[in-house]
Amino acid sequence: MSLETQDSTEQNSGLRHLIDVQDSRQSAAQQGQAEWLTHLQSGDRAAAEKLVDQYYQRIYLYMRQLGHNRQASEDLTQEVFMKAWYHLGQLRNGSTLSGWLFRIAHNVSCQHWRRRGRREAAVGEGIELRAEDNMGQEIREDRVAYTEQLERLQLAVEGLSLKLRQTIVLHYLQGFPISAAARVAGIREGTFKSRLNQALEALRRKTDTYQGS
Amino acid sequence: MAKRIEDLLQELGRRAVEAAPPGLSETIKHQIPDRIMTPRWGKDTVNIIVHLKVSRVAAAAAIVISLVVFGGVFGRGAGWYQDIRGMVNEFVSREDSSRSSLANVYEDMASNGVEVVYYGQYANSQDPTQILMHWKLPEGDYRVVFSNGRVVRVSAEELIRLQSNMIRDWRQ
Repeated sequence: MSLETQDSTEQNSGLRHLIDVQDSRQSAAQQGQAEWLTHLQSGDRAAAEKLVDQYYQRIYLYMRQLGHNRQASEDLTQEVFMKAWYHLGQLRNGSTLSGWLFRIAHNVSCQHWRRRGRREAAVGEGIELRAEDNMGQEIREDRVAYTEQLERLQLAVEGLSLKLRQTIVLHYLQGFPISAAARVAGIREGTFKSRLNQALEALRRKTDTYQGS
Repeated sequence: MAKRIEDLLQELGRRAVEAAPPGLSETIKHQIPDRIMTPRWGKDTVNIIVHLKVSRVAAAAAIVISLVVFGGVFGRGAGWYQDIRGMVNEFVSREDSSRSSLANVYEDMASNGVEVVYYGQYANSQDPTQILMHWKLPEGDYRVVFSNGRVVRVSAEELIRLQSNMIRDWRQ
């Protein structure tokens, strides 16, 4: 066996091992979630409290990212969990808890906008951005410019229509893959992709305008 | 440029740090009900049909047929109704034993997921305005059983009015 072939075989077996480890982790996580779900549906209070601990922060942030002010976001986060307890029976094995909970959050937010209009939008209550730590002096100036760029982009996202903003928040800010994000938004994947493209195009135009001004 | 915006958006997601107000998680935990809802056959059927995007008329027909064929729900509902009527009549004449029977029916209904309230321990059988028991009907109205055996169907608003009258009588 040549040296090159031996290297390739070792790389393949290493890769296989990595894939196996990843698969086993994924399957353990799925099993853990299935057990958690069983506990939740059997009315286990500890499992319900774990759900709160794991997701209340993300749901609150999601509400803020959708443009609700702090007080409304707090109220809506509570409403999401109230609805979650009531609709727990509709959660099926195989569906993800985060997707299910965010779907409820999405509906709660939409209902709130319908009831109140956008009068209670979080004007002047922008979301805080974390500064980067451990920066060297030489890159600090670049970082300031970068942070300003991020802040401009955040302003541009806040100026998007609700539907376009939802797609940006779900996919980029909350990190849902497109298929899962479309399910959360309750629309077809194609529609979601189309809205995402529109949103990116609108953001590109807006940030160009900011840079020009 | 689009790629650059996508990178910036992902960075924006990573850097968004606004914390929820202190005490929010505890508030939410206090609101966890004692009985978390377990899967309910009827609701699941509705969801499946909604997911299948069947028309509303077809969905309604499918639900009714399913309930009649598999659930025996109408029979059971009528059974409760007859049981209660008989027991209320007994309640008016012979209190103690029928009160416990009615309480059993209440337990049975509650364990089957019916939204039922029983005032048997507090209701005065001599007063015809006292509510003995009420439960929610699938259409959203309420069936109310008075202590004199009268059974009526009322709206939610009417039920609140009846309950207010009853509580006012208790205070006097």
